[in-house]
Amino acid sequence: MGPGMLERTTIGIELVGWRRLSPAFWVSAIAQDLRLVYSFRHVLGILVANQLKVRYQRSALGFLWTLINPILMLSVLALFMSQVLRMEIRDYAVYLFSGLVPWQFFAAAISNGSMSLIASENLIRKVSVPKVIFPLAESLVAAVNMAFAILALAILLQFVRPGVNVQLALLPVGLAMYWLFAFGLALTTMTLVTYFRDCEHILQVLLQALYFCCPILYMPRQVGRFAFLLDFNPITHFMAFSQAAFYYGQWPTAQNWMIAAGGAAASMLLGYSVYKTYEHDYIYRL
Amino acid sequence: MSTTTFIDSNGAAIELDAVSLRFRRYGDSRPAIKQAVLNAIFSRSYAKTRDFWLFRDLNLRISHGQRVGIVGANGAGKSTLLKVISGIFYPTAGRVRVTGRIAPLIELSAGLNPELSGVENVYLNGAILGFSPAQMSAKMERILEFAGLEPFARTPLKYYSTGMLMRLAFAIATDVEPEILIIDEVFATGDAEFIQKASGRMHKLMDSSHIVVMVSHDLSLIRQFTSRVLWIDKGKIAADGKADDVCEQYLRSAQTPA
Repeated sequence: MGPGMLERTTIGIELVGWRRLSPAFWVSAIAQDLRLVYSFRHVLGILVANQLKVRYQRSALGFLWTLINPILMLSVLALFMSQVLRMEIRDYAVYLFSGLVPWQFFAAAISNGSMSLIASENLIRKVSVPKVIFPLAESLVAAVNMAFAILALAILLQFVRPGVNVQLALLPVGLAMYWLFAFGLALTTMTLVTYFRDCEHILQVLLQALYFCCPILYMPRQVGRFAFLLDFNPITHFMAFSQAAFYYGQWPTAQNWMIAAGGAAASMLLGYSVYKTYEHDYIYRL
Repeated sequence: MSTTTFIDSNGAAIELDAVSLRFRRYGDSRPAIKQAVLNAIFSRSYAKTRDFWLFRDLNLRISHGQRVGIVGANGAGKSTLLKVISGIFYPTAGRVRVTGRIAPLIELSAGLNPELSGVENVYLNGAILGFSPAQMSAKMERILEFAGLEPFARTPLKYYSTGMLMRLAFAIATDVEPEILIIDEVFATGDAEFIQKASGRMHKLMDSSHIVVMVSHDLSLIRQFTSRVLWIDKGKIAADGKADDVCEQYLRSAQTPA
């Protein structure tokens, strides 16, 4: 019954300080955190399941909303865009959704992940639990929602533009890198928001701005001489994977690959080291 | 940094070696960018005075089989000590070593989520204590029955009364057979009937736990349940010894203010 006898040794935070400089510290820290997350996998599972339940189970139409929502949104947007920008509506629908779905994942993972410690304040102050599971749960929820949305998207697209691109095979790889990018960034923004509550509002504004800096509503060629700016946005390169699979039908470029992989690695590096630095201090800021 | 390893020995133990805890008080005002900027400009002198050391080189050893009570004035650091033992607060310096599965009843309602139903909370709490949903399903009926909450099993906790919450939390926490039991003012609420039921179960639980550490202002409760008592005063162990002796000492000091 239950887990066996546990031994836990907690070393003072000050003792850890200088060890940060050695790579061995990070190797053992990562190994430990993975083990810790594994031992809290049931909590993680319940956190994720509860969020999904709220979304899919407690509404009358449940999963259908994942299908209905895009259709409704599309009708509004596509009508507007096709009338104002004179775009071909069928094409535009496909393009829009291959960018919008990944964006919604990103926005949810970042904004919910950032607030996750504050939202679970009660638990954190009273139970010993690795803090990382809260942003992790949020990014997993966002990922599951994205998976459902992509499924819905793929189904809808069969009516608009039948057939499947082979580039779909690369989508899981692209999304995995995208997930790492978003999770790493969420660890960083979570720390900022927890320490400086003002950042929550700033973050929302930045997300809104970033939304318009991504090729979602418009295509790169439409912004003319500013198109090169889109290349500086790493999200452009993650979206390239879903747009390749659903819209362009061309393989992601080498630049896409490099920036996506590099962005994911850099984001995780930053996020994890920020997290390890403040891991035991968050509790004083809640 | 924390290390968690499974060992197969049977000896539960709590060891605190030279534990110091610097408590950060960020005060009533929410930490804001303004303050960080001011700190940076005035090289951190702006808010430095708000940190204080709650524990300095605290040493404590609780070994297998001991039932320890902790007494002391409000704000002396009793609950914080429990939080250090259960791993909620990390020591600023020193080392905490705990062997055995801990059930931290630090405020009974700790792991309860008001948005979730009774049943969902049983799963969540069980998970926090390291039990899988399948293992908790096996305990579900017994927990709900003990708490007397079968009719409200599917009701979100936000509609529960305080007493109902307490009963549920108590029923979950005491059903998981922890090796180390940490209790912070458990008997604060609940009606007479439940307190009686609870105290019976508490006895049983304490008998089966390897180590019990309890904080209470109720000295008769402390005397009844524990054999060793720590008196914590301003973050220091003022006395440590037989329950009756230390309670006596503590009472005397309380009656004659220094």
